Amino acid sequence: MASASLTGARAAAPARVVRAFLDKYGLICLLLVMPVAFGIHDLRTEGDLSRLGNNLLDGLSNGSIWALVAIGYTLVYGIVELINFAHGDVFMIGSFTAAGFFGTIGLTAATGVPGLIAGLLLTLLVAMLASGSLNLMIERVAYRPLRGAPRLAPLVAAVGFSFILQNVGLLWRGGSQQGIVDLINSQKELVMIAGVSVTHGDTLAIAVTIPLVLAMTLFISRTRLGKAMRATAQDPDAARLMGINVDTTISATFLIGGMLAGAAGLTYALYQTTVWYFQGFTAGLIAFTAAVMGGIGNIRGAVLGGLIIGVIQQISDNRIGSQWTPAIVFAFLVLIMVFKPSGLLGEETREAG
Amino acid sequence: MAMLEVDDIHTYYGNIAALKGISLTVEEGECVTLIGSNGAGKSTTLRSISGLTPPRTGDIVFEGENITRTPPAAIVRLGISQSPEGRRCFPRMTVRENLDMGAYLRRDDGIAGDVERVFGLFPRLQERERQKAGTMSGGEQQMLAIGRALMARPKLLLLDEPSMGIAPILVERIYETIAEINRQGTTILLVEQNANYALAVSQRAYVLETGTVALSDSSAALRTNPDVQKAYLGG
Ligand SMILES: Nc1ncnc2c1ncn2[C@@H]1O[C@H](COP(=O)(O)OP(=O)(O)OP(=O)(O)O)[C@@H](O)[C@H]1O
Ligand SMILES: [Mg+2]
Repeated sequence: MASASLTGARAAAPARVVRAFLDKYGLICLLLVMPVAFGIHDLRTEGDLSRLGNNLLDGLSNGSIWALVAIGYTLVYGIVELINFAHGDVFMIGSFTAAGFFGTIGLTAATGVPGLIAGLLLTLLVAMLASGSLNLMIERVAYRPLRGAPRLAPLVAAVGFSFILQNVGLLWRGGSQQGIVDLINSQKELVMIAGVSVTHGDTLAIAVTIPLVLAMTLFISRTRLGKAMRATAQDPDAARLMGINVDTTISATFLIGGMLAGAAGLTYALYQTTVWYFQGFTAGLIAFTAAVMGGIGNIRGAVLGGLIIGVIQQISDNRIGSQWTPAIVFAFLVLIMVFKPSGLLGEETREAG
Repeated sequence: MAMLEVDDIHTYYGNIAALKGISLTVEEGECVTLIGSNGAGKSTTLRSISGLTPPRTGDIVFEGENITRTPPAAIVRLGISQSPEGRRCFPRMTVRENLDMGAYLRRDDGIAGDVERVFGLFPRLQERERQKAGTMSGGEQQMLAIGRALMARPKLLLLDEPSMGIAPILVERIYETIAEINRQGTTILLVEQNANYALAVSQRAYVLETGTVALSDSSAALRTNPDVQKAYLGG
């Protein structure tokens, strides 16, 4: 008996070591599989890593757009435990607003650099305000009256609003993909760093995303309203007892999430140089996946998830074939959820903060 | 006039009546306790006073002002704060952040001083200042919940079952601190199932039964009341 259990323990030891290793580094290994494999492949066939470098950069710029959208999902989920299905469409309206506003203020491909930057900043502001106030309005008319109703009710309202916004988009710009003027010469190379070509589009995506994410993180950790958002996400009743106006705080959360989606909408329009009414559905799905991958409710997780999905998509599009990309993205999602059901940075308990 | 006057309040959860006509008063400087078994309506009474579940009928008057339908934030501003049942600390905030949330509505510069005061009352919290509340023991979280409620500088402090789920030795310490807070001048309305401590620390008490006041008297008298002894003091 005693010796049997002893050998049992000895046999289990390596398994335990493997298990501990997997727990700790399994996710990182998983995420590194594709870059490392293709990196080795590149070194063998081309002798340098520039192709992989380009994949990574393109993936990060695309992913930063998903990250901005994903933050909106995660913020809202964190505070009202609702998947805001209309969020992708709020992003689409942001794109449409930006695309329309370029024309209004007379930006063309011929506009000089200072004028272009000023015009883009103004457009960014307008797109953020449009998407932000739209999201705020949706919360007021569709979700707030249903607070306290069974879970399914606001969820159905969210799906309904998503359809409404898609139809608004359909009426606004028709049913087909629409090219918009390539204001920033998106594909043009700005600089070449170690064989990696940094395009205008990449620069724009990074220049929009990094400051916004930093500003938002600071806002949430430092300001009164940000603290109220965290407190409400963690315990709404306790937040009320502190004197926090929970309704106002929830409104602010929708406003901020919508504003980031608007910024993403502008970036997307300039980066892709096309917009269409259905873009919000796809982007919403990807960004929602990113939020889940990172750990729904966790802001850093949403950013990380967005960037990772961007990179996976880019590598898959470029190396494997774009018809496989959605399957590969979701395969990664499933594997990550198996390793860590709460998502990459999610906490075992409840979300957010 | 009493500091707090609760007059015949009826509070509902949906269609279920939790309070069926509760009346009570709290004088300035007092420590008053509500005892009663599970589901008697003790927590609902405190939630009604704080504005979380406003009563459907009846009146709640605090320092002459009718607060029956006043939103929770305005009630905190008037000087009523609560340490709720189950503690409800913000789990992913540190001890210090939780205390700061308690002072959410304050804009004066006495906040740092009040943090020191709370640390003086609960030295354990000072040792754990940077620890996330969710990782602390139940007793520590209870201290934090009380400390957080004090950070609002309340005139009236509502405490809901501060002894729940806490080791007896720690309960004693917490009750010493509650007595100290009362001595320092904060009026307290205390809810307890553990009537021994509650009747020792308070001057007056109400016994609640299924949403009504069954009995009210001085705490000393209730402690020797045979019915109360049988039902709530394990004697
Ligand atoms: N959220 C709720 N929804 C429906 N009914 C509720 C809710 N909260 C409390 N009740 C009901 O209201 C009544 C009073 O509950 P309350 O929590 O005030 O009792 P309590 O005296 O604090 O009990 P305990 O000692 O167990 O904390 C109970 O019958 C309870 O079932
Ligand atoms: Mg209770």
